[in-house]
Amino acid sequence: MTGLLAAFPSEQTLQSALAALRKEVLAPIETHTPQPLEADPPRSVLPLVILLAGLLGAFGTFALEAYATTASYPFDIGRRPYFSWPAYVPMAFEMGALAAVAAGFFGFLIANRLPHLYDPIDESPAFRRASRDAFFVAVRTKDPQQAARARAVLEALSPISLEEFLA
Amino acid sequence: MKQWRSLDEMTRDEAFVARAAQEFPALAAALAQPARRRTVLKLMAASLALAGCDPGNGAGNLVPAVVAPPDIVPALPNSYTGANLFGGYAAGIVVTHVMGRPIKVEGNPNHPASLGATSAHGQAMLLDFYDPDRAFGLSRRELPADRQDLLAALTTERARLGADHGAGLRLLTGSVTSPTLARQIDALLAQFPAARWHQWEPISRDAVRAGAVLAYGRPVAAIPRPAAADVIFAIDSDMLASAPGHLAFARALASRRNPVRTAKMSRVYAVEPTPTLVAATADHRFVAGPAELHAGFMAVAESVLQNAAPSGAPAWAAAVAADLKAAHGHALVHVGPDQPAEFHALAHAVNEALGGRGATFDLVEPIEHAPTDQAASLAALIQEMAAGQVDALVILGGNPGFSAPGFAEALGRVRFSLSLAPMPDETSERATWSVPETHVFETWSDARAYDGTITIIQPQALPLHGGMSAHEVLALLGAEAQTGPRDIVRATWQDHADFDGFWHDALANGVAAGSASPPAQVALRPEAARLAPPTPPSQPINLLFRPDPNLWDGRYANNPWLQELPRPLTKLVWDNPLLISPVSAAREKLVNGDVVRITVGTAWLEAPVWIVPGQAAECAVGLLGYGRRVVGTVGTGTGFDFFPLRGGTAPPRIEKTGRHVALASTDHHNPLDAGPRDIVRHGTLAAFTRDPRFLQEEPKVETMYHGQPQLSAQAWGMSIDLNSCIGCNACVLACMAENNVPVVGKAQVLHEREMHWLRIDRYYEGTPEAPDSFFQPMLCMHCEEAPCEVVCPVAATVHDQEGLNVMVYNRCVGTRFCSNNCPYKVRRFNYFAFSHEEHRPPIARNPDVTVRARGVMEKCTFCLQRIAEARIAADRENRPIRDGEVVTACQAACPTRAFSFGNINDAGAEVAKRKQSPLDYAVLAEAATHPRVSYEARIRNANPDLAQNA
Amino acid sequence: MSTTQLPMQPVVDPAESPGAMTDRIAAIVLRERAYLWWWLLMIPSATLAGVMVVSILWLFYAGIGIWGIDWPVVWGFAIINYVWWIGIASGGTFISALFFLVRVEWRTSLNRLAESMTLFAAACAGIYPILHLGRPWFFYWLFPYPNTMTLWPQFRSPLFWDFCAILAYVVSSILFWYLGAIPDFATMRDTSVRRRPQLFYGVLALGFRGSGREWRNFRAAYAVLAAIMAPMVCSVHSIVGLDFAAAQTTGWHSTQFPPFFVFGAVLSGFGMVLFLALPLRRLLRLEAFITGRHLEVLARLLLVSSLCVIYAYMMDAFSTYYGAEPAEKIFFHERVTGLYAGVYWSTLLLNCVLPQLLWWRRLRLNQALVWLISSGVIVGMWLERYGIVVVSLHRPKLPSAWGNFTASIWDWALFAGTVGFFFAGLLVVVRLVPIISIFEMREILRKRQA
Repeated sequence: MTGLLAAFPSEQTLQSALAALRKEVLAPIETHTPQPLEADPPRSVLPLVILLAGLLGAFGTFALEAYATTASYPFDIGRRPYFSWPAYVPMAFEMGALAAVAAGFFGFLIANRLPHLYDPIDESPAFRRASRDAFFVAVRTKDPQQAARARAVLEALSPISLEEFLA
Repeated sequence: MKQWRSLDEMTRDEAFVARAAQEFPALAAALAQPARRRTVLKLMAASLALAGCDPGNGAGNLVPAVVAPPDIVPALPNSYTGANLFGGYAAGIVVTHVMGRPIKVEGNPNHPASLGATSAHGQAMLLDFYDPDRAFGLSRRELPADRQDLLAALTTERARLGADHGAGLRLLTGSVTSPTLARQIDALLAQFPAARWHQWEPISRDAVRAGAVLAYGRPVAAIPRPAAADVIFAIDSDMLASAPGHLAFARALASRRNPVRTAKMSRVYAVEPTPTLVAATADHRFVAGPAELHAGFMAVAESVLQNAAPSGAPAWAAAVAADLKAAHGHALVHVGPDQPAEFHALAHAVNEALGGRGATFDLVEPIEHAPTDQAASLAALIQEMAAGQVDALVILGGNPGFSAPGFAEALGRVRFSLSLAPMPDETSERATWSVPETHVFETWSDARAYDGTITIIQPQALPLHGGMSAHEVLALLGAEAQTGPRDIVRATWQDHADFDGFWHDALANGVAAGSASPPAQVALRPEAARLAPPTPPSQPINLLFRPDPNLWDGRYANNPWLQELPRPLTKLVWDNPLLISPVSAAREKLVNGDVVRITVGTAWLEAPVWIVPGQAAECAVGLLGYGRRVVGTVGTGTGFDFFPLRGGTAPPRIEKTGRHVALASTDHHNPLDAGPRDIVRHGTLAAFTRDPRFLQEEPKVETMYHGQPQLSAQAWGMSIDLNSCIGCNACVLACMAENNVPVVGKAQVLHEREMHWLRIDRYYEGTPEAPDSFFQPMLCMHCEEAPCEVVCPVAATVHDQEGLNVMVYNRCVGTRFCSNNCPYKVRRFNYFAFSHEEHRPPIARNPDVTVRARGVMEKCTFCLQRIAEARIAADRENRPIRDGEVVTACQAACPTRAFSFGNINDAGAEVAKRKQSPLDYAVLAEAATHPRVSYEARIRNANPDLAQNA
Repeated sequence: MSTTQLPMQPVVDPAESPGAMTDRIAAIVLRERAYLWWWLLMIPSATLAGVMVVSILWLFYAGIGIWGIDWPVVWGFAIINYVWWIGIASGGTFISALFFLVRVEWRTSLNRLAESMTLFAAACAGIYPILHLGRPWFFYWLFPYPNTMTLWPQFRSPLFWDFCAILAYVVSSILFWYLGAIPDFATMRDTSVRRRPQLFYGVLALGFRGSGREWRNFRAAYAVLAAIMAPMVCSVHSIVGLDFAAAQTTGWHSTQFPPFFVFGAVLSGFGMVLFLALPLRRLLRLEAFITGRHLEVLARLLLVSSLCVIYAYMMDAFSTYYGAEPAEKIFFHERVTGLYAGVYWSTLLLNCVLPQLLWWRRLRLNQALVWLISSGVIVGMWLERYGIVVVSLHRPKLPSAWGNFTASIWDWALFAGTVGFFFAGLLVVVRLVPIISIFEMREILRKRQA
């Protein structure tokens, strides 16, 4: 399997390369950019995951508190009712928020399959500019025809660099 | 046998090894083997374990209780009667033992001087008994000696003194009420007719004795009966604090102080130069220096005796005199021991004129054996000693080397001297023989109460550290037939009809039935009514001396409980600054802790000052008993010795030194900043008569809490009568003893970390010159809606079914939020491991109460262990807990029955009845804590003629 | 520091190129040797951090009796410093999360610094509640874990809420900070030429390569996390306020405490950001990124939060005299005229009076003055907490329990130690982590150039 890695100086040139590639090439195309692409709306499942985790954290905590003080081990605390629900709210909120943040962070890792410390693409010397100022597009394919076609498309767009890597 | 330097060297000695092999074949085998580390360690461990099997008692012939005696059941307490001796007078006690060791002192309800209550000193005797500093053996000229040496020395002395009928022999004791000691002294004086016996108590009651002689011609004892008095006029009185019988007087006085429970509330007037407990409870208190006091009392006496209108007297005199006369037959005048003998005699005359005899006071035959003028007695002794006329001196108790200036120097001129003292002190240090004295818990004895009632004192335990009692020393000196203390005491009562029955009953009840002194058939000498006491000298500053309320004459200086017990009004601990009036403080620009130099003639002392609101302007008070030089570790370096200043006659001078020292008081603010406000509610009897509920304005408190946990029918609660509380502190010490409350020391009190679970708050109202003072016992209120519980994050403080606010020490992590949220600030925190640093062996602790660790909060539990004990007993008999079955430690000790505790849901219970009182109120009710402890507001029976206080 | 007036500048120079800017920021971190000033600051900070370690060890050995706390004043420096540090921490989260949500550009060059400050301030705050315990080795009893006694913590206690809030806040702050730094770690990984930095940042970057999927998830997660962090920081400080307000203690029992504490936290947080940013922009030559406009905005925020705090102080006085509680009046009178009156008046001077100078634009742009005012605010907020904790506790409802408080040498040692720890931690971050968020700066640059 081979990969092609082309660098472009700006998001506009990258977008036109992408458009051309999508028209000509039937292979997975991935971008690597120093900042999020403007044209790329942040569509992700993570907000839903975070919301669910937050709700679960909050209501789970509330339920735990209610269970502990009314069923598991009820104590007479200053003659307050066993089910003192207003007192449960702060912890429920904090634990919900904590669950949401944790879900967001770890969800981010899982959704992106991180940590992922090595990838063959790293071998390309030019790729180090992907986190600096160059906009990369990577094409990975097993089909030599597709690879050749992609190379032709990319060369036509005169990228800053064009490299092959073992994918 | 030859000398050897090491075991190794010895094992190389052939002769020794051969002999050892003969004696201990196993040892020979062991020695033959090379010494191996493991073997040596094994042998060391074994010998250590064997050493632990030594019963270690002094008597040697006792067998350790492998099988417990039949009356000792593990975990169940036993009680034995005894007595607390104070100035020679007995107050009955009952000592609680657990597994054979005394752990708590309670009052003896059968005893007239106790009536079930104890004083702070009675509670504290437990720590004196366990004091680790007591462990000292006999010594002769500061070198160790043993009992045989003493026996030999006494035998020699007896022979030597007998040669000239004991002409050089002197015996020095305190006041003697013990019939056995009296019998022994009489016998000794018969044996050595030329010997002489001296008596001396550093805190003198000479004026009381002399006053009775002046009034009645011979020594008699006057016993006030405050319960029968409608009007009481107390002149610098110690009636509630330290007079023999003060517990009984306090009970009697308090019985007439709550208008809800007495048909006619008494009215108490007090006049004095420095605040006393009587004055703190009085309806009217007059601050008077010596001159005003003299003029005022003379005016009252003249008004009563001669019906003369007071002239040139203080304004209050006329009103007091009129009130006394109006209450003819129900009036009482009481004079404190610090006032001159003529005052006492005049007071007797006034009391007789007011028709009080047989009602408000009784005259009985003297309680003490051979009462005498002790000051003169000691002065004569010192003079003889200094002159070298004393050959042998036997000092039975007391510490004149500290409390009598000049005594210690004169003691150096006595050839043979013996000091019997509980631990090395200033006297035993100078005496040729120093003999450890057994604690009253360790010996047989007997003693009389204020009314003459006799208690046979039995030992509560074997002597912890050996020692002898006064009886034994006298028996050895006089070569009596009996030398065991039990036999000596039995010998006194031997000719009693039905001796065995008498002995048994006396020990079981703690009193010998019918032994009170008979009434004295004496008539008032007519000249007593015309006595003119000497006019006090007019000087800019009068230096008065009073015993420290806790250390007394210094004998309790090594008792940490008493050291750290806040003085009733100043709340000082661990110190005795010179007490000065607010007027002189303002004049000299002195603040608390400023060091002054006090000069009387050639004697001087540098001590800090403490400003006492309500002290007469021209008076400064030195508290005696502090500044001990030779004392145990607790008393070392505490306070200042005022005894050397006491003898002086020159006018005292007080000068600033410019230095300042820190004084520890548990009252951490300027006392006049905050009055009692709504916290100690109080009003006049007139207002109470108009509307008994006039102090019961409860704030309307809304609750947001519905569906609260249900409580059981048993609901513990307490009611405290502020009319009864005299601030005597007995409850505070009882609580410390019962609940293993640690003592923290002066440095930590300065740091505001004292640990008392129960404290007596003192508030002032009025001017600093003449304020009214209020006492309020403050302990955990066991709030229904306890704020402390809600804020604890680990549920270390929770409510139990019976409404107790319980503290779970194991669970506590020490956030201290509970203390923040406690409006009453009754929680105490173990900032350090206070209980481990205490000067007290662990066996002295109450085994039923957890000893708290560092970092843990603690507080009053309503004596949970006592509740549990009663509950177990009730469960075994399948019945509810009866009213009065649970008595908290504070309640038990209180002489005035200010505390009432029990089930508030039981309408018949005393506490429930007291909570129905129209005076009942809750402190800080607006905090909506619904405390289970409520107070009965204080009512004062003000004289309408004296508008100033009304 | 010069007192020259700062010219107003845009947030970032449009002439800057992304590559050059990336290199410039990365170069600060990738220098082989640290700056001299770094060592000059690090040595005393690390020494003080050592003092903190010694103070903690001695505390565990001897017990909290080594502090000045006593019978009425059972809470002292531990709580004062806890509240102070957590307040400072909250300022960082505010800048980072709240202003992210409202899309203000100037936030970008400050958020890394602000969040790092939050991290170490929250760490300093986080240790105090544990050290504060009488038996700190049992701190985990506050957590609902299945123990042998089947006991639960007491969920009604504000301290328990506080424990949860701190736990959630510290953990969330770390995660939020780290998540936001992952793209920059990737940049650092790719920019560094030596092996050790490459490995170090490579591990920290977790393999982030700026792929389309990564950026989509990143933007979604970061935005939602910011939306959670903003209310969370308010809730944390409200709960700190409830620690006091839920108690019945005189001076604490006030419904305005939760917002009052948030105001105070924000004030001290902004103060600390200014306090750090002013010298750092010079020392790290970040003038092009942290510009006069940033400082002007921060100074205005300082002024606004000062006004909020003034409102809270006024309400405090008003409700005391409007209410019927005599103990509150006595306490307030004591606070204003008593032994600790200096604390109260200094608080007012530093938190209320001095920030009013920031009404004038000329003064807002005077770096030295702004730095002094923010230092004053930081001190003033500490004094405010001293007033709330000590002065309130020393006059409880019962006069018999009145007392005083004097801090001990160990109180001060631990306090100084946490200050050292805070600065040492920040210096380490400055040395190892790009103190300006590079990828976000690139985005801004692009927007400016567009």
